[in-house]
Amino acid sequence: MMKTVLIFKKELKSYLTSPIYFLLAFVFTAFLSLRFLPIVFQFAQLSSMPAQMGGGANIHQNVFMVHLNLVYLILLFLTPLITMKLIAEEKKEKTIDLLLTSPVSSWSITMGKFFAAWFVVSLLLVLALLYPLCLALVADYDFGPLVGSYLGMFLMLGLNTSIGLFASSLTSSSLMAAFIGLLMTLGVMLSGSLSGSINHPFWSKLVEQLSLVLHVQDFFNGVLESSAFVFMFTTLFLFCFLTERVIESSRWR
Amino acid sequence: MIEVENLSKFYGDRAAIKKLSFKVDQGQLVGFLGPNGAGKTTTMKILTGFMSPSEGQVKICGIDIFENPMEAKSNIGYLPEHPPLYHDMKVFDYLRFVARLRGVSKDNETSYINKALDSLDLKSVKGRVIGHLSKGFKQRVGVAQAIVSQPKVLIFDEPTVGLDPTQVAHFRELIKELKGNHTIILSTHILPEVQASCEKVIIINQGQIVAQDTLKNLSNKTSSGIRRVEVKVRRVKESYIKDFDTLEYIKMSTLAGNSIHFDLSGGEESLESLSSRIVESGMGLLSMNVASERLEDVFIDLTKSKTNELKNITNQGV
Repeated sequence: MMKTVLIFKKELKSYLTSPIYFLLAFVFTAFLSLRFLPIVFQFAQLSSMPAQMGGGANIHQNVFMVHLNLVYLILLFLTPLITMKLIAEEKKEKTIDLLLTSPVSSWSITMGKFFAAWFVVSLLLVLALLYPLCLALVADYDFGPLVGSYLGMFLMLGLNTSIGLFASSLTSSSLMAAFIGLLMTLGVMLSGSLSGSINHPFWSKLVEQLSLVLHVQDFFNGVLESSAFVFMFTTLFLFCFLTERVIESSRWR
Repeated sequence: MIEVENLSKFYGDRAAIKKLSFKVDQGQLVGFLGPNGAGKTTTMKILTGFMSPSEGQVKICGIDIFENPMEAKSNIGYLPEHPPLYHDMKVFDYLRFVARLRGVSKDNETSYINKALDSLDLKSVKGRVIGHLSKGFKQRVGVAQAIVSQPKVLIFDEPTVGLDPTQVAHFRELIKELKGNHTIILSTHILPEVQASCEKVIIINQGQIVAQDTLKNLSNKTSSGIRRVEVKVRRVKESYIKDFDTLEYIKMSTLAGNSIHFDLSGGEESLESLSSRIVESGMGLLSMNVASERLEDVFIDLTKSKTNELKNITNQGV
């Protein structure tokens, strides 16, 4: 446990002292800032119209969800870039030798790195949350769905981080790790859409349940369902477990 | 301190190392020698628990490294071929990270780090980022990293690569200081390094131990009693030299100017007999040098010849 915290702190420090992280954060917030005001203006226009003409819009659906979709779209690409170095770089620089010859378990290495990356990715999410919170100054709205949707996003980013970490353990090239990570994230995200093309009812249902999009939808609507929690945590854990196995396997090769 | 028994590592059919067995006692400094690709690094990696062997057993301080890796590893300091440095960290922070990783207590931490910095002369760069240091400094940070937790066992894989001659001399001094308190294995193919500091040598070739003994015994064994004697005389009388060749203990003689090289068998008696003969011959003996066998010769001798021929001189216990 102590060693996990030690590795967590080391990784966190290396993220927060690296210019690359701040560059990514800059690109991220620049995008959001450029898009946020137009979204709000559009909403203002919509809500001033009578309901028959498509007005009477809901702030959660028409502002926060549009914003959050944009957040997810950007983070989908940024997360593999943040996780790519975690293990691939250690392999390339041979610093993995130090970790594997020290009294540290592969679990401590995996979880320390995972939590550090999840933490910095979540920091970006906190930045994104500032935009809707600013609106609280000028508008009155229900915080429930907002919190629910950000919690869902937080878990989803955890899953993406674990996928990125796993991808990073597979290769010693950071770029390759980012690429594999992105492909795998897209794979997990889109696998649910296959369910429509399967005729068998059991398999169709199974594939549908494997879909990330389905489970996240609940969160986004402010519904905290236990099946979604279970899905997120088991998948997240699965990828951490696979990472741990890959690290451990280098001892047996 | 370090016990290795029947250690083998196979990659498919190819054996990287075959049935290595040796023992290093507490406080000893052992040189681990072999040509490139002989299996040195593989052995080091197995000793440190980085890799597992296909067969065999390794005990560090009596603890089996595969059954109880956490405990065994906290007794080891390891400098791999490429020093495992995080280039974005500062020297001091890096050493603190390594010390904590190896389980040094908070109370000892600072004093241990300062000691490591002192013994490698790194005080002046302790606040600098490792990536910006020169190669020599990086190598020294690598050594500091190995000794910072003050482990009982130190394993160095080619520690002086990239150091300039002064730093190499400094490193040798350091090794001598460390010896006694620590048990050290030093793997290298730089022979003078072994000659300068090691009391015992293990030579491996093609994954097998071809010799393990003290330096002195090793020289005696491999030379099979033949020594080279260089004699300088004032006047060379060739007839006498032909006479010498008929002597039983002279294997060969070569003439170059006014110096003669003899390859002698037998011990000191043959030397005595040869010297008195030269004096009697009236050639005017100026000097007589017995070349002591260098480790290099032993090394080349052992690693080039076929393994089965060497079996008989292998391993009579260190």
